[in-house]
Amino acid sequence: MLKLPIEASFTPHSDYVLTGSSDGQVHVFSNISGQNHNSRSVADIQSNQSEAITNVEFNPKYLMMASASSSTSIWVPEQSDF
Amino acid sequence: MDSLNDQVWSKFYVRQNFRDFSASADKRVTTIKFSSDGEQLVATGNNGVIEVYNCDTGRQSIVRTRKYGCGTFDHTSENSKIIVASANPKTRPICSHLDIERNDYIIHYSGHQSIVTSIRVNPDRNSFFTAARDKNVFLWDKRTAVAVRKQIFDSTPLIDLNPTGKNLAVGIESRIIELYDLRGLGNGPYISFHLPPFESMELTSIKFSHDGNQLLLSSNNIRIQVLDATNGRELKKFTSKRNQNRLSNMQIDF
Repeated sequence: MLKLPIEASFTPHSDYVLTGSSDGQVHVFSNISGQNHNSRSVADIQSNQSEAITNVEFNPKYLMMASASSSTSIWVPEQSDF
Repeated sequence: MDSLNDQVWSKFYVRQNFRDFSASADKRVTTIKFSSDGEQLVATGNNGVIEVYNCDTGRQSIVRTRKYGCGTFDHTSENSKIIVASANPKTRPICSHLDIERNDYIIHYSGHQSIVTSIRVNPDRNSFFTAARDKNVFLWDKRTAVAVRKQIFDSTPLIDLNPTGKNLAVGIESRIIELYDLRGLGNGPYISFHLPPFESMELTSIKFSHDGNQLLLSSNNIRIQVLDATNGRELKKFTSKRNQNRLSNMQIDF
């Protein structure tokens, strides 16, 4: 089994921890609520690719995040202004 | 920014992919970072291309680093300039102060003997830190080509700078985190945390929270940890199945 070095990141106010996955998902964990050892994610969101996402970063100003795989992807929520 | 809550995450979708059609099949994006003002995203790829995205206008541009290639990087106080590591295995490893608007190298920093794995620009000063596979952490003055301070460790160090500018965290051998006061680097670490041993876990990154109070540890295993950055106490531990899939024919270049 190949274990990918996948980098997690905080959201700007450290409320959530984001991490990519080897199957193209972004997993969102709550850093405020839940158990100390909390393996359940708040959300698992699918990109438009099935390849590994090794890095996810949240924008410090806009409601936007970016992920890295074989290409860079920009994520925004639906019905967003940008 | 609108506030984040548990419900908003399911609305996120990929609005835009950077597509580089000249890229080979083994292309990977190695580092992505937003500028601290949130206006710009920069991504470096193992194909030597730096992608720049304006978060306000959506405009994309690219910089091709033909000779040196591009590895890890960090933003500077100016969005038009980054500090970027070279990635060409045939040349001496260097870091460069690069103007990404004009594709113009301002200064090269040389001294590391092998690939530079992290770069952290000090937001308050004209300085930055680098860590490399030669097990060294170097401190540089942005204006001079030679490192002003060097320290060697027992393994390739992982580094992050506290965004408050107070201290530097160094992760060593996946088991110790040392904190250095930037005002007294020569005094050695003012505190060290010993991490609980996890089976076959290798730390892959350490990151401060934006307020500098927490440290996020990522590994090549399925564990993610959040520590109190003042005393090393474990605040959270996440275990996911995210990294357990069997993959084939994939090379990750760091």
